[in-house]
Amino acid sequence: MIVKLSGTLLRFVGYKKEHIIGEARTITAALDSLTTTYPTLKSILYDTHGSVRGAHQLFLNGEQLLPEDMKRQLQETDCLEILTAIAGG
Amino acid sequence: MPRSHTVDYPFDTSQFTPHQFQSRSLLSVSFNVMWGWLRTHFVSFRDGVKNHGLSWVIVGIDIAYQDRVDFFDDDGFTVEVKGATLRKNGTLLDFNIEFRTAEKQIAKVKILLFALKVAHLDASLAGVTGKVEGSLLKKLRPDEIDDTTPDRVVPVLLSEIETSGEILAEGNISLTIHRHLCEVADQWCFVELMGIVGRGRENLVQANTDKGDSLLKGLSHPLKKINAELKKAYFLFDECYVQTKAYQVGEDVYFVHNLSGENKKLHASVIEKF
Repeated sequence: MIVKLSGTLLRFVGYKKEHIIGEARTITAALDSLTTTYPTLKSILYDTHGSVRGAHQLFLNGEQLLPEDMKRQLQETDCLEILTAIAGG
Repeated sequence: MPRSHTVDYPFDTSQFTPHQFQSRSLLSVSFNVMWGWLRTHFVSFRDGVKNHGLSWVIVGIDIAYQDRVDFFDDDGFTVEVKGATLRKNGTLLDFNIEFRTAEKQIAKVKILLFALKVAHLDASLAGVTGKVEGSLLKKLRPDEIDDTTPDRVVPVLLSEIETSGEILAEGNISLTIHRHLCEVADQWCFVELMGIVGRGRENLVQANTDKGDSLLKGLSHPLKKINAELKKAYFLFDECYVQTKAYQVGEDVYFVHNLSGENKKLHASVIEKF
């Protein structure tokens, strides 16, 4: 599957917009894989309770995800997009 | 009476087109004096973000050029923030700014900002919708608070143009948002909106120089007014698509620009009047 990032998040993933994740059965697993590769992304993406911060929105194949969707099963062809709603300045 | 803030600047050639003070320069200077007003009377940009989790994004711009002013008219200009008003229950802040030389009025600029709560003060500066409240609210005077919602100029004007105007030409450009178009959060800087739509207009005019004098006004005449609504930010390396349509309405020529992204969602609309 592919994880796409944009905006302020790019600097935490080496300015690479698309990341191919091999073995990820759920959205949580895909994000875990990404934050393992890019550890500084973890505190940016997650709050202290381990939930994705409200300022970042997740979309699976264009459909916006809710917090309860994190265990949703993924297919090899899925595209998970992480968008930052707005940034200050 | 709302509190003001005044700053003098020297003229330099980069602030001008052959016809007038550049709209991009108007916004760049406006952005700076707005933060001067806030630093003097409310809270500085840095202090607001760092210590109060309060930031702002720009959602509306109205520019009305006044007298014809060119580079040789004076050695410098004065910018005065005539006042700032907190609107819509503390969620919006509007600024009225005037540019003038000793002898002439250059332009009146209105800028509408939307309050943002910086949810987590990390390097991303990511935020969610916010409002001015608590101790910060007390820094504003009663006459600087008005809970009404500002009128939206762009949709009304666009409807009038589309109803009564004759379309002259239409074109598209695209560009990638690089850092020279961005601010500290790697988010596009609203100041650059004017240059981006100017590029769309100039491309359209130059591609249609055989279509008569009306369209040519977009290059040969000074701008009279600009109205813009900003809906969605672009970020570093995002693609920006600009669709431009030119209309004749009576004696005036309007250029209507819609900016969208890869997902076709509207990021901003700008109407330029010549």
